Amino acid sequence: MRLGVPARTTAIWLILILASFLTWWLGTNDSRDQLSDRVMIAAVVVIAFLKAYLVGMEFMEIRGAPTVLRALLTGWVGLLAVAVTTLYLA
Amino acid sequence: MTFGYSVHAELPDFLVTDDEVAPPRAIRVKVNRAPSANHTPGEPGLWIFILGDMTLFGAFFIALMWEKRQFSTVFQTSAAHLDRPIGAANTLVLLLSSYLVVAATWAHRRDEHQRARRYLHGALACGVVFVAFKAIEYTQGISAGHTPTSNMFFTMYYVLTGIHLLHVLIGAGLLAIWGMSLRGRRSFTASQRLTEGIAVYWHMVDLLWLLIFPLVYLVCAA
Repeated sequence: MRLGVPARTTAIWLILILASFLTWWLGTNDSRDQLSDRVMIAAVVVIAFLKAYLVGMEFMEIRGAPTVLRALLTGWVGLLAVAVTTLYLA
Repeated sequence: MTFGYSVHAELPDFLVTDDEVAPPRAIRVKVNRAPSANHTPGEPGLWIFILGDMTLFGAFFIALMWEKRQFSTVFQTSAAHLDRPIGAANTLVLLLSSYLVVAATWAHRRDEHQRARRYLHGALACGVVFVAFKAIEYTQGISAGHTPTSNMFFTMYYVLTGIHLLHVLIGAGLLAIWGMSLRGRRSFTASQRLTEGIAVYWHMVDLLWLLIFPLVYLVCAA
């Protein structure tokens, strides 16, 4: 069935679904090795913020919005991603 | 005295229909209202609210990670009690709902009102599933003795997911309003700001859950 959604948006949506399964695998996988566990959880954080960025850019249509809106979304995602990852790892 | 008369003879010319002339056919115009470049979806004022809301959640995420550092063991053991499969299922439910809202926006842009309404009903159904899962999750948690006053982790968990749940309920109400407005078959141009604003709000609800689930359910338990 054709839903009438631009192909690019559908592709992004499929990436979001796949990223969710990857998050599940990384986040629930207990490797019994502390270092690799930390790396995997850090990856979960980074993937989560990338997903949020994609939802903002594509679904909220910020990609085609004025520069100030794009800068605000990018700033919000970037600052939070750095802060949360640092608080987790440091 | 006779009442017989010719109809056409009595009527002025402009009232006489000419059966030879075929009625005009409805003209189908393909509308394409793809947003133009540099287009701000919805009202510019809406974005102050959206970004303000997102900043509040952002501050909450930082506070959560800060507290996790202070009470590392409490956070690990408490977060391990959360129902992760339900949380993950809700991620997929909200992603599906967002996609349906994108489809509804495009259908509305093409003035395909029926189609747009069907997609909105689908998105609303996803919202109901999300709330139902959340209700199951809260019931299980509380009956297992994990209440908002149990410890710092559960306080933050209930406040964060509770505020998000409130956003889901408001968003579902807005989707219903959009669906009802489609009954009036108003063109997209007439309702563009309202429609896009509601879509943006719903996507924000999705965006926030895409962060809440991994941070609260997975990272806090690690």
